[in-house]
Amino acid sequence: MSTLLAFLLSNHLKSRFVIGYTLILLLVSSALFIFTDNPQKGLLGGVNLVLLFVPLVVSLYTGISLYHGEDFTRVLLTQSLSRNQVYWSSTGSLQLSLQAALLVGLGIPLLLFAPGMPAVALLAGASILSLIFSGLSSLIAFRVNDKVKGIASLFLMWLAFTLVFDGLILLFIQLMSDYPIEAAVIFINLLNPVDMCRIVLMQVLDAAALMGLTGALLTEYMGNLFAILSVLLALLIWLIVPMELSRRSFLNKDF
Amino acid sequence: MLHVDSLTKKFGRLEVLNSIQLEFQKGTVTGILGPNGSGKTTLIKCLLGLCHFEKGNIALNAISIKSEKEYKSYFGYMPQIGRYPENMSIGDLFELLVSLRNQPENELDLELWELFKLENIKSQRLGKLSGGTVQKVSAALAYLFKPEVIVLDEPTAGLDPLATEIMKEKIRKESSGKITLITSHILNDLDELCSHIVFLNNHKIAFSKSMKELKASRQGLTLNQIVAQLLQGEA
Repeated sequence: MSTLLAFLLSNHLKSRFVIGYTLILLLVSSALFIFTDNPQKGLLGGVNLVLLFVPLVVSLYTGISLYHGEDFTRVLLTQSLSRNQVYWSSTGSLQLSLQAALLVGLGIPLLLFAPGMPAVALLAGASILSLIFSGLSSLIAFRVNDKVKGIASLFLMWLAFTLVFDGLILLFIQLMSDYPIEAAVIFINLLNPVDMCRIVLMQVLDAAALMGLTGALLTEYMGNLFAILSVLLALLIWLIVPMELSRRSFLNKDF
Repeated sequence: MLHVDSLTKKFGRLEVLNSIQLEFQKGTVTGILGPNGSGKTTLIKCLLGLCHFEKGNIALNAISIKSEKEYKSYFGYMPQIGRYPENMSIGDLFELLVSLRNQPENELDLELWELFKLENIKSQRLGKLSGGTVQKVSAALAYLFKPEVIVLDEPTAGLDPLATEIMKEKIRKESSGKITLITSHILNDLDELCSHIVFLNNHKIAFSKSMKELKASRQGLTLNQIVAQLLQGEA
């Protein structure tokens, strides 16, 4: 199985998409530090890159390469391999290649321009979001047989988590502003991995004031450590549940 | 012997295969025919373990399809549309598949690799190959491990005349001691190659006969004409 994983990983690492993704990350994150006067601002720019750009690219690449690779998956499934082995090699190689792109594209500029705890947190956040979105996308790719519908669903999923969700929260806060809704707002935020990452990163970057209501509330209500731990637990659930569902879809799929 | 016992497959509420009963003996070449949507592809996919099925069983020499890895190790498959990881070379692909099985190199069947001259282009990237070359790669892979059952989905579509002849010669030569299953719309090829014909219609087996029987029952007709008659009779 490790031979297959290495083979597929090598194929991903040579793909134009992954190379392009790495270069864009490298360029944008370096520019963030070069064109701002202090690293703190650069890091804040990096947060937006991680929260918006990374999930989009990861979702699209996961979807495209899984649909594109379906014919080869079929060939692999007729070899003397179990479905589980094929599943873990396909999704694992994908995940690893995207992690490698992050490590080079984001890790190197962070190490050069802003070494320290906040940089590590930013890279870790990017890495977790990448894993989560790739998992969610593989679930969609194995469930939706039609390629065009699948890619469209991936895009809608990204839109929902990054823009629509925040819009709805704002609307909720606006409408219910007469009631004590702080705890509810925190809970709703835990339903969205992007918001969770935003909360943790802002806490770590010590810019809670910048993120408005939720971050301040979170600290006030839960205290720093407990808050971060519960967010991490929620992120872990976001990682494991979609991956497991996607594995089951793969095992039961008719290729 | 490959044994298919009352195989039933549904896609939602639509029954695609309705209690299919078949036996394929060693040394036979069976053409699987039928109009579009009759369930040919699904039957092949079930045999290869690509599709799950609701009822019935499939077994090769008493090895059930449920023993995933062992069952599949006896199969060679040439898909109709092969698409391989774009950025890897032909050589990489063969190395990978060889290393996935623990079969010693001198027990590999490299005849098609040589006849199709894949050695000369082995460093070419799979994403850059023409459709015909991809078919050659798929064919060479299907026979590589000397499988007991060989499943060929439109084996000559997309091949040039020379390669088609090489392929047909290979099928003929390897048919003894193997179970060969072919689907094709090029009936002339099947007429030359097959010893048996399975005709699927409306998700059931319309008939399963040896070529001799079939031709004896409709004297003087080619397979083309027989199939045309059968299809017209349906319509």
